[in-house]
Amino acid sequence: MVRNLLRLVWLLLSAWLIVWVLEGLFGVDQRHSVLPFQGDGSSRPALFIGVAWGILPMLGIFSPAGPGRRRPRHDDRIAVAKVIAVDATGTTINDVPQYDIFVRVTPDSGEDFIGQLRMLITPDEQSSLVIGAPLPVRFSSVKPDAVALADPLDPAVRQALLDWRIAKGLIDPRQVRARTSGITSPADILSVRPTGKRLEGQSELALTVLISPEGQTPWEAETTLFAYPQAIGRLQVGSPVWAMYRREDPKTVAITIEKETVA
Amino acid sequence: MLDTIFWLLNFPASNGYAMVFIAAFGSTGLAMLAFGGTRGGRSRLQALREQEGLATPTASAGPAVLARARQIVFRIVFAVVLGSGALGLLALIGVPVTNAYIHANGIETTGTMDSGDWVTFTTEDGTEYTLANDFFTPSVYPDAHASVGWGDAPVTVRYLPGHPQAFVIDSTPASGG
Repeated sequence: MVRNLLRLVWLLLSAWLIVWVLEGLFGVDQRHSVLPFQGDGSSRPALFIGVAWGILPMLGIFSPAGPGRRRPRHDDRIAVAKVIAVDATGTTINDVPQYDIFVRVTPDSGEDFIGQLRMLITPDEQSSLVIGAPLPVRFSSVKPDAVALADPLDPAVRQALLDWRIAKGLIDPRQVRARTSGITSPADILSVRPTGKRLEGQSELALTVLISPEGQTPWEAETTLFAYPQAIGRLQVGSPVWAMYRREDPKTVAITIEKETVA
Repeated sequence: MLDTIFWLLNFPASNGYAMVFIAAFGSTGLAMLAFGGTRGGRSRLQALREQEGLATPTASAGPAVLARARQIVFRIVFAVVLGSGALGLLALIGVPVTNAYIHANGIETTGTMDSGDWVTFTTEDGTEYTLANDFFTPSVYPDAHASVGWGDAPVTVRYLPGHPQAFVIDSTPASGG
């Protein structure tokens, strides 16, 4: 907005200078100029206007705006994105380097797109930013170039991510009711077997879990789960997980690694 | 041909004061526009989109040809501004960059001056020209510091036949008085 205004001012100043040069080269009666501010015919207005014209491009009004920082907005959509490139911008703030993270966003509906995310990353956070790492992002469908990190602890984001998983088929349709409105109980993994199915970079595992709600007899259930490669280490035999099920159908279970509350 | 060149060169030389400032302040910004790298965030985004085989969701800033053309235009403007600044500087320190040529090749006529800022003379074809004579870079030759045309005294003006905007005031007759 301000950038466009300054560009317009620059163009007006350019036009003024061009007319000034043309009048100087072709003018027959140079005492009467068509230009504003050119009253007494001295070169002082041209000097000031020329200096202003010269300084404006130094403010970077012609450099591409870049994605900038996104402020969260109400109509933002949430999706999971995969890191495809990480570039250092060369800027550091308080010794923390700034990076441009390019992500491939897979929205719940519509085509994939590439978005950009500029942020500061401390060296210890940097190890988690490998190519292919999943990130929850918020984006606007109007201006998808710049995306922002979505806070995974925000309930609205959790709900959106859950909707995204359901839309992408990462949660078995039979488990959806248990996952969205079930009871959460601690469970332990009894057996793990990959099924060989892959979706959105996640692998499906067939699990047998022992569900042991407090004060009840434990029972076993069979289920499947899509997990990112990074999470598979937490889904080994004996790993404690959380199971979600509905009271009337305790054999249909959805597994989560972190405790999820029903949104 | 030479007349045309000197007519063009005469403009920055006769507006030396303004030109030096414009070149001094403008060249940095223009150089950024003319030689600034294309390492913008958008172009990287563009490259990755092509690599991933995805169509651009928004119209990009313009095809590369346009950016290249803009760069070339700004290079020309940069060269012109820098050259004008150099000419203006020479004129300011008293080098008769164009005045000598105009004095040697100009057509002589008589004109009047108004408070030293304006020179009025009539050319061979009968057109009356009123042209600016800058205080800092006066178009006076051979003695640029000669005081000419004070009062209503007529001055001798030499102008290039094709382009009367390129003129000098001959200081020789006035230097005696």
